[in-house]
Amino acid sequence: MGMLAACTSAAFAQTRVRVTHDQSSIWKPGFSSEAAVVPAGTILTVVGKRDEWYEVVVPDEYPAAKTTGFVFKSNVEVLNQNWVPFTQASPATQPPSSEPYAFGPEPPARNPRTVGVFAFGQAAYSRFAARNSFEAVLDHSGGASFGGGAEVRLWRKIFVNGAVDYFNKRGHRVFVIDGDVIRLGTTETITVMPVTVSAGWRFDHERFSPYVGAGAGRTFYKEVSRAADADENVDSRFTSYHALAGLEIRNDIVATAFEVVYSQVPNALGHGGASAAFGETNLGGVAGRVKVIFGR
Amino acid sequence: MRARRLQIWPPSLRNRKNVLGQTVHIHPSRRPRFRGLALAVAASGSLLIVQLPRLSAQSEDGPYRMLLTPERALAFVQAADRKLDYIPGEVLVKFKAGVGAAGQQRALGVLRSRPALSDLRWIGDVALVTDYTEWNATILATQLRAQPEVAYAQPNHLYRTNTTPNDPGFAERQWNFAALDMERAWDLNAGASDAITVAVLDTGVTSVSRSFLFQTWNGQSIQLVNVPFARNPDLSESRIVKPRDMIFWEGPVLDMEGHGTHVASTIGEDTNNSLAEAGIAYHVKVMPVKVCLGYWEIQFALSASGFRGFAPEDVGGCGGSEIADGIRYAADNGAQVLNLSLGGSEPDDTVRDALTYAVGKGAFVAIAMGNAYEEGNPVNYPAAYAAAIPGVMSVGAVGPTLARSYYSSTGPHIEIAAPGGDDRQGGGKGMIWQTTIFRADSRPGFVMSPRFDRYAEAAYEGTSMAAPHVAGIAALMISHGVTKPSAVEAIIEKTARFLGAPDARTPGRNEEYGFGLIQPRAALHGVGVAK
Repeated sequence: MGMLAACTSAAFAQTRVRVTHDQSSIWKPGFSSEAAVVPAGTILTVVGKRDEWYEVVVPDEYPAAKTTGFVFKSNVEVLNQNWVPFTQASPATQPPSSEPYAFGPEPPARNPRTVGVFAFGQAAYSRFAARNSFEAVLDHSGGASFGGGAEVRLWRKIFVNGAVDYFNKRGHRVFVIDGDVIRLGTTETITVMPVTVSAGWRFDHERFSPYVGAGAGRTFYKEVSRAADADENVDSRFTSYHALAGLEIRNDIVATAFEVVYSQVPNALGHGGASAAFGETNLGGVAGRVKVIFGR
Repeated sequence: MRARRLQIWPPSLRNRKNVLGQTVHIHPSRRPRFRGLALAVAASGSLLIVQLPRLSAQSEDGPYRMLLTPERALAFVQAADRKLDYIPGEVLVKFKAGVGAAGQQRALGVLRSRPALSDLRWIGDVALVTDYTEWNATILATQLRAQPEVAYAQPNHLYRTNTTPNDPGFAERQWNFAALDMERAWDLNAGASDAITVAVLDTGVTSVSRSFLFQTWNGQSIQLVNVPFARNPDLSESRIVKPRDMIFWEGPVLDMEGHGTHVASTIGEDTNNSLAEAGIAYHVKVMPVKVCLGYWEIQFALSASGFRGFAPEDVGGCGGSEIADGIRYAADNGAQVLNLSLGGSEPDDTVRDALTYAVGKGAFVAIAMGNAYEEGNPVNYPAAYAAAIPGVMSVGAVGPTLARSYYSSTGPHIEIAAPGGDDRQGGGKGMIWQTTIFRADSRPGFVMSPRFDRYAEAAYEGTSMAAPHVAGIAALMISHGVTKPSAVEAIIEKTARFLGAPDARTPGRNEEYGFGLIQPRAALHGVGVAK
């Protein structure tokens, strides 16, 4: 590893960290003993990382100089960051069970990256704003939906994405009499499919990146009941608006995001059916999503 | 089938006085001669006081005790003669809460016959008091109402089935189901289910196929005739449950008039069996509750007691006490829907209380609105109670053009309209066709020895025919998940197709059609979230 570091340092900037805590230990590989104990302010050259540890070169003034050891991440701060995937590992420098990382330069075209393209799949639990109406027909005021989309990120800060969700649930047709719901033996299948475009800002960090955004779209809404004529069913689309906030947790090429979305689909309901009886007009609601994002 | 003999118990007659104080001598060794008795009725204007024989019919199960006593049969005759709207000599009494037996007996002591408490027949908390020494039941009621122990007293009103039978011959038949789009309603619920029971309080639906021996007058003598009965071939035996005769005898329910069978056929005649007509709720159980008498029941009872002569052809009707009793019986025995295709011009608190009781037990009730529009359009009871009892609906009739039938009574209490037929809108084709007993086999004045074992498709019209449409659709709705009677009514009203002119005083309804024409498809389809 040390040889590799030497080779690469001649051509590219190396990742360096500054020790922030006095008496920070640099542990020998295997963590059986300390290679050195360094004061705050010591500059260390990073050659790799393993979980919460940086593999660093022991400074010249210490007996174990030129060898590598591990310093805890919290005890240092990164001065520059040029991580690249490991491409060629030296058995001598590779910690026994460390991740296959190597230090080195990032390719010039991706550093700093200005455009990233991602794909994502998402699962959500949506609770409709027309809570009484959906609870009457579906027995629940919401349900699970699934979808996916694509996202473009600019400078890792700005994102624009397009997504499609699909909610489909079977319930029963009803009558609402003086607020009482009477469920009938006629089944009813409701499909809600929002197609949205969102844009927002990411508070980009290496691992945890919160983000906020907003957008608009079209919501496709279908009600189909058993033995119904076409004119008794509903097949409509409405304009929607939404705002969202989330937290992305990156783990290399795959990231997981947890997101809350509040949407409004005004005047989509309330002209008939249970929604008219309950005076509910908004087809939007609140959804909690889990997204799995692919790409870098 | 073996004939069952109607047996006359030895008469136990004694001398009594009538209301005029005249002693009527009945020789205990002779069968009473009622020709003279009938004349005496006409002459005196009072019902003669005689202790007439109890009747029963013999069968393998033992003799059936007659509920229709000769006294009562005569009372029906007198009601027909005098065009009375109550049963002479009968009054319904409700005592005030907390009044004990002594108080009740004291109150009854005001009547000339001083009936004993043990003679009373109780319908819920209302007692049927009979005092045939006074035919004018309004006088009896007035006497009792004056007693401090009495909450109310009223004549036992006589109701009639609301039908105008007619046999115009075959034609295109069930326009009524097309008018209601029944086929599309059946797409959503095909004939309800056998978990639903619809009680038909009417002239009965014959529950057995066998013959009985009855005595009847043939113009010259009283003769014993073998009268065959058969179940409706288009109403499976398994679909008849808990039949009960409240008014004629304790034997099987027998329809000797045809009205009850026609009504039951509209509600649920077997369907998709390539036979006769269709019914609306063709999977439900039918509970025949006989509360009405026709000509033949009264003729048989009179002849069995020795009455020599024919009863008036228009004799018959339904006793208020039996209606109330029948409503309670049906509700207590699991009927979720009751159909009352009957009515009269006098209010009856006992019937009203029974309706409230039935709804409280979870039963929906459809009642015919009445057929007397052209006879002054009087308020018809018990239909008039419907507006005040959620879960009870009064039903008016429309013809094939969906205009109000000429006879269909109107008023602020009408709630819904359904096909009842109207021969003025389409002749025989405009009436309601269903399977019932073949009327030519038993037409009074033409037939001496009737039979009730043959069935035919027959055309009737009346609000009697409209009510069972609503009852049948209510059964579909209950089978479809609408279990509360008040909800059944609310949905029927909400989904009705408005007919006629709007009434500014009552938005959404008017006095001709109520909320409009019942719409079974809409009542079964319900709504989704958006539509």
